[in-house]
Amino acid sequence: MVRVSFLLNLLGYTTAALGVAPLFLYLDLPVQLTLPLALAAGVFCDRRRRYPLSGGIATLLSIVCFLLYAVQISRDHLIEPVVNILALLLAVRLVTEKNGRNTLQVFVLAVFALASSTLLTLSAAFFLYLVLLVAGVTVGLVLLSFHAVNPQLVLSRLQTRRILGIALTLPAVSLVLMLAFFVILPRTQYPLWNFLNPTATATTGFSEEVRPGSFAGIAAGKEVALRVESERLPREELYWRGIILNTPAGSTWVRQLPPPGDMARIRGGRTIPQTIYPEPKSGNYLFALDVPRGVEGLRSSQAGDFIFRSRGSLDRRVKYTAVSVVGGALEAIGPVDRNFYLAVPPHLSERVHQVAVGIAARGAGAGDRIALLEAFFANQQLDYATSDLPASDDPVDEFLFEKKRGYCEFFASSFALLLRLSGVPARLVGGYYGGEYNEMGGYYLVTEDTAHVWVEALVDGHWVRLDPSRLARNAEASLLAPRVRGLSAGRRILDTVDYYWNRAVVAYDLARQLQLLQQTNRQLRQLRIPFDLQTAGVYLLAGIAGLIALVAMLRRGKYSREERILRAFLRRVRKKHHLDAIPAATGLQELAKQLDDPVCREFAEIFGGGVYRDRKLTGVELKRLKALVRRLHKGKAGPKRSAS
Amino acid sequence: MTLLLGFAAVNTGNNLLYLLVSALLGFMAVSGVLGRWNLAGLGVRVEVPDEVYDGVSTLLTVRIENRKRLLPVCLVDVLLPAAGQATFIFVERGGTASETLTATFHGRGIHTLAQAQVRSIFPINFFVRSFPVPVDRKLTVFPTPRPCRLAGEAGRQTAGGELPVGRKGYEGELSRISDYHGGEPLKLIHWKLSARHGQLKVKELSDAARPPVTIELDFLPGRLEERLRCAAYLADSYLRENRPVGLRLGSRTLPPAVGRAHKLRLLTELAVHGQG
Repeated sequence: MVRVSFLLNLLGYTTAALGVAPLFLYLDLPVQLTLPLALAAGVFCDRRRRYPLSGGIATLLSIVCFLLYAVQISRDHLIEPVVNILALLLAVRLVTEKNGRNTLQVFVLAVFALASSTLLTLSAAFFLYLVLLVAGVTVGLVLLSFHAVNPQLVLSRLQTRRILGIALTLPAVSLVLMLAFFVILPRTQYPLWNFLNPTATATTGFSEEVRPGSFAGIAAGKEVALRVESERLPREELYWRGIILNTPAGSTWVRQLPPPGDMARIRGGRTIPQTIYPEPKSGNYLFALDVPRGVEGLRSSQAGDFIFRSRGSLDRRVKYTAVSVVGGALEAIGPVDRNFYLAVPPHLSERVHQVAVGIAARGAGAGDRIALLEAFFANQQLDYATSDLPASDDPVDEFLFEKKRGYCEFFASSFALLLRLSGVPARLVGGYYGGEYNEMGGYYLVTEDTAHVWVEALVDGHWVRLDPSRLARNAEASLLAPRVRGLSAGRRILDTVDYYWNRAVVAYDLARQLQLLQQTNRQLRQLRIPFDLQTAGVYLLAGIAGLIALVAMLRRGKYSREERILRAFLRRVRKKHHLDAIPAATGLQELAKQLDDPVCREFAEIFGGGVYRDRKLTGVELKRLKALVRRLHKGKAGPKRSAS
Repeated sequence: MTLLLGFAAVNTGNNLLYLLVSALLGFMAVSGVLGRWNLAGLGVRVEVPDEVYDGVSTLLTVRIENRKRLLPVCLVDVLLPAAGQATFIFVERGGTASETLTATFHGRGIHTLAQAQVRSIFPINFFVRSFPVPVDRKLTVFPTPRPCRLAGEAGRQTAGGELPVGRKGYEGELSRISDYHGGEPLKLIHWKLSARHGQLKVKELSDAARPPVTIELDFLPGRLEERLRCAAYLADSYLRENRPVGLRLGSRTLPPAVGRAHKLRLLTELAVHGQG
């Protein structure tokens, strides 16, 4: 027998824990301590059915908790006090008597707590909490209606199973409907309370200026920078352009607006459309495959050097589309302000100047000089490294001649400076290089540790991409390989989940979704599926296997375990003794006698001893019966006979 | 709660809140459908005892039948006017359950329980679903028996010769001798007389019961309703004594008889008397 109030108590504890779990880390320490204590006290009080907190005291305590945090509420400090209030109210309700009204309050507070967690975090874990909480609350509400009819109601085990079975169909179907409602619910274009939504903090890795020598070592994590949905590309094309740094100020490269009239156009090449999901960050540069021709889906501005900036901030989840050209030429239109792209900082060492003078003297054109400079870099036996880095006032000199080790910023800034000193206009391009293609999701995952800086030099009126980091002795091992190695299998799966979560839920937009639908529709019409016998065969087999499993499950559910073992026994007996059919009226004992089979006799005795005396078979008996059925299977077949 | 969260979702544009609101909306939709299914395929039957008296509490049995093949019926209240409500917690698919209700009917005559109201809060106690179920149960409410003067004073005792005295029986006094027809028990054969007459003669014994009585409504005291109650009382008391009771209502006469069926017939006549 099961008491309904006991089930309700269990559901109350569970839903309270599920509601608070996603925001637990954001609660104040005293509240964090109070919650588990309240839960434990609630369990204790419910077991003893004595509640120290009567209705009046509980209400008073709730008001005090409310006031305690309500006074802290301000426009800039709104969410934290509210979630603390919710958690404290929940704690109070956990300790009080669980009558119908209070249990309902626990459910409501748990739902509100989960709702408020969306204003603190947009993690995919929310979905898990949501599913579990919806299941718990809906089953709880069903049980509450039984509780309302009779608070002392006790149900039989069978009734409980049946009621819970029906109650569980509620969340199951609700969650399916949820997906439909989610798609069609109307959205406002400009939400009024957008400020309440969580803002992600900026991640490390990519930065809007290049300052070699400022750190003795760098450590970039595997935080996701962006995900790019596109076709698979060769590794050497995976340059994600973000910013152009055109002005060296001391040892730091910064971006200034390109001189007026500094325009370029892209000629030739192959266009690659991409959909890009950047992680929230503080800057507003929009990344895309080098060289992006256009960006859509966000209000953005384009500079003459094909740098795109969002007009709004990128501190929340957004997505945009970009069309890039791979393998084309970036041709400068009109005269380039050479002085602007040849400017160098004043305090460069004599050795650096001498190298540049030498290259300028030996190389006639920009192409020759680049080749000479590349040869110089190769001769210097430079290493790509992220530790024990040059950290003096003149990092370029130290990098090229002393330590001979550094990361992309050292390579790129030294290369660009030497190009400028030898009379070749050059600039730095900041972005990412590499990315791991996620086959499951069909997207590139670009992490912060692939932040990269390379050089663009003006050669015969074209801006040409040069990556001096490739000139490192250990380029293949240190620079290139890690950038495509990516994440471990486990993290890759998690990232796929996260990707789809962000794409389908967090950044969901009906208008775009319709666009996608139309696009898919168009694509489907144009689709020509090549007939692949192997794939078709696999699908067919999977379908048949699924169907068999379904039928087996249904059959299994149809018969009790006694009926199942009896059916198996009769099947085996028919097979072993070559019987066409065993008449339904034939008793087991009679059958055993007719067949004169000791196995059948033993089966009949055990089975009859249980089932015909109207009791269920014990575990031991069932085990023995199964063993007998197996023995029938192994036993040798006798002569054909018929049972009557 | 859904509205509040929906308002917050629209205003923040937070898709996670939309997800939560969608789940709650889905839940409301499913609970509505489940609530309807719960009350579908439900048969209600009301069983009424044979004797129901005007203004006297009686027990009715409400029986519900779950004709659904898959789902049980949960938390159903059956409301009967003048009888209150019966609550059924759980009725398995294809099963029946019954509850007893106390009801009081006022006014003699034929009453009709046309319909019952079936209602349920299942699956969640936020909405009550309710709909009428035809019952179409007719019942006759008898006049309440009220003690009055005994038959000797009020009714007219049957006069000798007017009606045959009693009926043939096997235990009473000898009333006459008649010819043997073949169906009589052998112990009733009057052997002496048979020998004397040369043909078999049998003894006819009168019934051991007390002499029959016919209640004449018009001769009872008081106004019509009082007379009816008195007649009901008399009929009941005589029949308890196993005394055959007849009834004369104006020109109609019901011959005296005993037994439960006869009692119900008499009471029914009294209940509907003068009601067309």
